[in-house]
Formats: sequence, C-alpha cells, structure tokens
Amino acid sequence: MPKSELLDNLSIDLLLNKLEEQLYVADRSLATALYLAIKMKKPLLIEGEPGCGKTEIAKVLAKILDTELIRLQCYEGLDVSDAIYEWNYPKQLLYIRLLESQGSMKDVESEIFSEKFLLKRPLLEAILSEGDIPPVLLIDEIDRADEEFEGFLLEFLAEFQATIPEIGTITAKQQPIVILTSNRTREIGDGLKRRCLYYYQSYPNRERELKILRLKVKNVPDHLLEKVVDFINLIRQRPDIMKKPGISESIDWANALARLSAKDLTRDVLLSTMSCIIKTQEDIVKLDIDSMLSMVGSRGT
Amino acid sequence: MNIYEFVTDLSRVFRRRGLKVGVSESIDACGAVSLVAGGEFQDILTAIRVTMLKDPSKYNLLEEVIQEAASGTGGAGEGDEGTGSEETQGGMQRQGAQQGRGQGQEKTSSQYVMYSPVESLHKRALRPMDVTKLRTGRRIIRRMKRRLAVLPGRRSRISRRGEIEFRRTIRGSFKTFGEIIELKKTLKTLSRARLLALIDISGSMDTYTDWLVRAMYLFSRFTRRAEIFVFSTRIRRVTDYLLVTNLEEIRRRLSDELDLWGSGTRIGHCLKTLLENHGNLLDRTWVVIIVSDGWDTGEPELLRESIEGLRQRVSRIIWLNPHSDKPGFRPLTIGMLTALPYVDILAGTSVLEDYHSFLTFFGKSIKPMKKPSRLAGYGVAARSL
Repeated sequence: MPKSELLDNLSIDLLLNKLEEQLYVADRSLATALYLAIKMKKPLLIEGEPGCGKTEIAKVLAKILDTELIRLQCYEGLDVSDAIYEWNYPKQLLYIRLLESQGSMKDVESEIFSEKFLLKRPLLEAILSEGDIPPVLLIDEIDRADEEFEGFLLEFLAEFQATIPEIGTITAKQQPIVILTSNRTREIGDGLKRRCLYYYQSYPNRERELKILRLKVKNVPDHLLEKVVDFINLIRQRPDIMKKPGISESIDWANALARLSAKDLTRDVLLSTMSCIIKTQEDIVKLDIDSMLSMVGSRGT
Repeated sequence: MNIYEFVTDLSRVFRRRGLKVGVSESIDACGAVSLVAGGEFQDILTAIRVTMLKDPSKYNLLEEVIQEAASGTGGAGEGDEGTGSEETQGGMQRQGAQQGRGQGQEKTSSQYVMYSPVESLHKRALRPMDVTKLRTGRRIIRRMKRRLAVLPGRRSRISRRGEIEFRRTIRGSFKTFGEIIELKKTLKTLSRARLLALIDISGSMDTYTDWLVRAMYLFSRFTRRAEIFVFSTRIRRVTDYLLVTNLEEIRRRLSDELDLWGSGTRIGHCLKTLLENHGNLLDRTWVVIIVSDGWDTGEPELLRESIEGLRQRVSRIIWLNPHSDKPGFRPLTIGMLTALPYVDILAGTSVLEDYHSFLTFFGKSIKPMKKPSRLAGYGVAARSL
C-alpha cells in the first residue's frame, strides 16, 4: 500500500500489524489510542514507568507512516528559544560586519531578521513541515520541563502556530501527529491533559514481554528468556526497589546474556550482568538473590 | 441509547465520583466512540479511557460502572467516595509509656494516656485563621523559599561560568562603538523549589491546632508545586482543600471533610504509604517539611526505613517540632531519635511566626545554593544537636 494512502485506510487492526512488522509488540488498546490520536488530530500523552517503550512508539509510528520524526527532548529550564526559534546572533553579527565593510547598510534590519537568520527549533520545524504526510512530533519527557513551558504548550497544541515578533505568526500547513511522553516524575497539569488523549503504558504482562524478547533478542534459549522475564517481574513486584527495570532493561539483559552465551541463569551469571537491570547500589543490597533465583527455578551456582 | 446519551450519562457518573470530566472531554469521547463504534467492545472502552480518564488510578472506575450497568444496580457513584483503601487497624498509642522521656510536654505527668486498639477518627471545629499572623508567615515563607531553592528560576546573574548571552554582549558593545570587547556570560539564579509538607494532626498535636491550620495554608502558598499531606494513623492529601482563596472556605473544608484529627500517630506507616503511592513523583527538586512532635506509636524500624527512602529521593528534610522552641529541649522521643540522622534542620514552630527565630534556625544551618548541584552530605544540622 502506498504510504500516502495508509493514513486514509488506517484501521486499528492495520496499525497493530504495522507495529508488529516494526518489531513493536503493542496491545490493542495502545493501537486504538494511536488510531484515535491520528484520526481525531489530537496530541497523545503517554505516561508510564521509564523504559516501557513510550519514546519508541513515536519512532515506530514515524517509520510506519514513512514520515519525519521531530523530537523535542524536555529538560528543566527548557524555554521558548530552545523549543521554537532563536535568531542566529553570530551570523547576524558577521553579516552586519560584512555590510559595514561594503558600506551598504540600507535595509539591514529587515535583512538580519529574515528567515535566513532564523534557527528553527523542533516545534517550528514541525509546523513548517511540507511533506505529503504530517511529521510525528515527539515531545519527550514533558514532566522534566517547567510549568511555564507546559503553559506555553497549551497554546501551541491548541492552535499549532508560533508567533515571531519580527516576522509574524506562522501557522502549521498541516497539523503534525503529536506524541508527548511523561515518566510521571511530576503530575502534568490538567490543562495539558485536557488537550490530549491520554494513555497509560504499564509494564507488559509475562506473555507480551516474552514475545518482545523473542523478537528483539536472538541466540538466547527460550527457557532462559522465561527466567529473565520471571526474575524481572519479581523485582518489579518489590515496593522497596527505587529504580524498577523496564522493558529496555529486559532487552539489555537478554542481549548481555546472549553475548556471554549463557545457558542458564546461575548466580555467577546474574551477578556479572546485574548492572543491566539494577542501576543503584541501594537496590542491589535489597535483593535476596538466592531466594529469587530459587523462585525462578535456577541453580544457585 | 445513542452515543451522545451514553457519553453524557457516563461523564455525569464520573463527575459524581470526583473526576474532572468537562465538556471538552465529553466531546472528545463522542468523537472517539463514534470512530471505533463498529469494532470490538474493548476498543470502545479504550476510546472512553483515553478521552475521559486521565488518571490511571481511576481506570477501575470504568469497569465498575460497566459492571453496575450490566447488573442493573444503576445509580453508580452516588456519594460513594470512600476514605481510601487503607486498612483501619487501630492506632496503638504508647504515649503513656513514652511520656516524660524528654521534651517539654503540655500534659502534666499525672495525666495518664491509655492506648486503644480501635482507631479513633474525629472531625474538628476549627477557629478562623489569624490574618495578622498569616501576613507575617507569608513574608517568612517567601524568605524560606529563597533559602531552600534548588531549581533555576527565570532571572539570571552575570557569572564567568555561565553561558554567553548575546543580548547583553551586544548591549555592552555599544560603549565601544559596536566593538565587542567582552563576552557577557550569565547563569540562572536558583529561586524555586518544590515543597512537600507532611503535617501531624494526631492527638498529641492538639494544642497546636491553630498553628497547624495556619502552617497548612502557608505551605500551600510556598510555590505552585506545593503538596500538603496530613497524617495521624493514616495519611491524606489535603492540597485540594487549600487551593481556594477564601480563608473561611478552607476552614470549613478542614473542619467538615477532614476526619483524621486527634487520632494516634504512625509516622512510619504513613511515610511508607506516601512512598508507595507517590514515591515515583519525588526527586531532588523536592524539599520535605515534616511537622510533628515525634510521638510515634508505630514500628521504629518501619519509620527508619521509610524516612531513609524519603531522604534518598528528596534534596532536604526539615523537621518542625513544636517542642523544639522550649528551653532545654532534647529530641528524645522514639520518632525523633529514629528520624534525626536523616533530617537536615530540626526547628521549632516559631520559625513561621517570628522572623528572628526563622533566621536563627535557617540562617545558620542552610545557605542558599549557588548552582543546582547534588547536595553534599545531609543531616549535618541535626547531628550537631
């Protein structure tokens, strides 16, 4: 099917198949949420634990639609000049010097504040995109950004336009498909949630996680993958563990086991690869490795 | 029933159960349900979930409503907002056993307090807040915010370590007729922090009720990201009660809707519940203020584990103990002794009432941070006691 027709003929089942073709194992509810976000032209806010594949959804969606992925990584102190536009001050200065040396300073102001000297940041890039298919705009880890930026996003997501005082208001030629992700390190404001469709991405169940590992990791025996999933699930059930391993940690761990050609999850193998799943010393101390290994049915040594 | 009626009824039920489902959510839900109407039932549920339920902890509401509709019980959500799923086991008060072990208690030694295995939950008729004291408190809170700031604000200061700021550089070049001699660098000043206040409203804090209500109000104005919880044998979030401008309305809400007043204290259990439910939201941008006299009837080990877990997550823990202002005070209650190694500042309640007292505690112990770096060590102030 030509890519441009994909959006017109999109259905939940088709999206589900396409996601799987891209090695992304999604459940039906996620495919429905994506389908609704595309059809209703509304941003989709995906919240969930770190490492559950939230960012990956946007990447995979861009691949499926064969369109551009524009990513805005949020952080504390992110402001409009990092998100929308900034003037290229060094280039403007050099240009002024050049004009000075040529002695032609006429209309210098309109020239230096033209698009030539504009540094387009992700949000402006998204609304200026001109392809057949709208780009996927990923606003990643919105919970890391300040509330002021969240407030600014309210306007942007409602109107899909940006105002540059020296040039004017730029409105989106076509509305990008917007995916926002949040690790829930803070509560996202009601205003932003109201403007988005909301999906909570939890840890996958055992069967789905196994399916993901089988797709993503080669050369690991099936019984070992099962033990990996069971062990990871045991850790996730512990309320005292601060950094719980996500899917990405499971994949990393299974990959590490594949590299080491491990045949079983023994104590030694576990200790040598523990850093793939547990990232803080406090959490490592809390784990009773022997009893957990016996629970997943592995040999102690 | 058509889609519109179905969605309207559903949004009404959700609103009755305390969810913020507005007209825009209902419009989105109608659009979403009509898009998936020919598909599986599960798709319709997902469509409702993504458009109307924007809090994962409320996902089970939808299943409940559907089940009620299927069983024909109807009338879902009629005043069934419970007090939470926490267990209601008795708050055992060991105050009698602990009494007289240190701090300047209000009660006389002849007063004998027995513990009860039955949890005692009360509402309380509160007095109106003293506006003069609130005014002083607001001034102190503003200062406190600057002292405890860990996050960069919007303002910046000139610093050699900062980033080049072209606007200032160009403006500076005007003095030298457009020739840039010096690159101006600026660094954002730290002026913000996120506050989590945990306020003990158990029986042992009865004497300080007026002050506690004032503290709740003042802490809720610390920053827009302030979260206020009260605890006794359970913990409850009261931020929403305080998010109105009318003082009388706040007093009414805290009097009529809060029923944890005057119970026993299980600090460890309450902190554990807090960490389980909201631990993932805490990080080093948060400052925690605990207001309690440290009388704890729970397990000291649980308190130690919980406060250690809290300390690992946040940047600072400040403990306000009402007895701390009294001469000869020593932190000897089990709760205080257990928590002390994890506390940065131990101060009295007077810090919110008297500016000199605020400076005495906060001026010595804590200096405003210059840059948002990891705090080196903790518990210095508390250990020096």
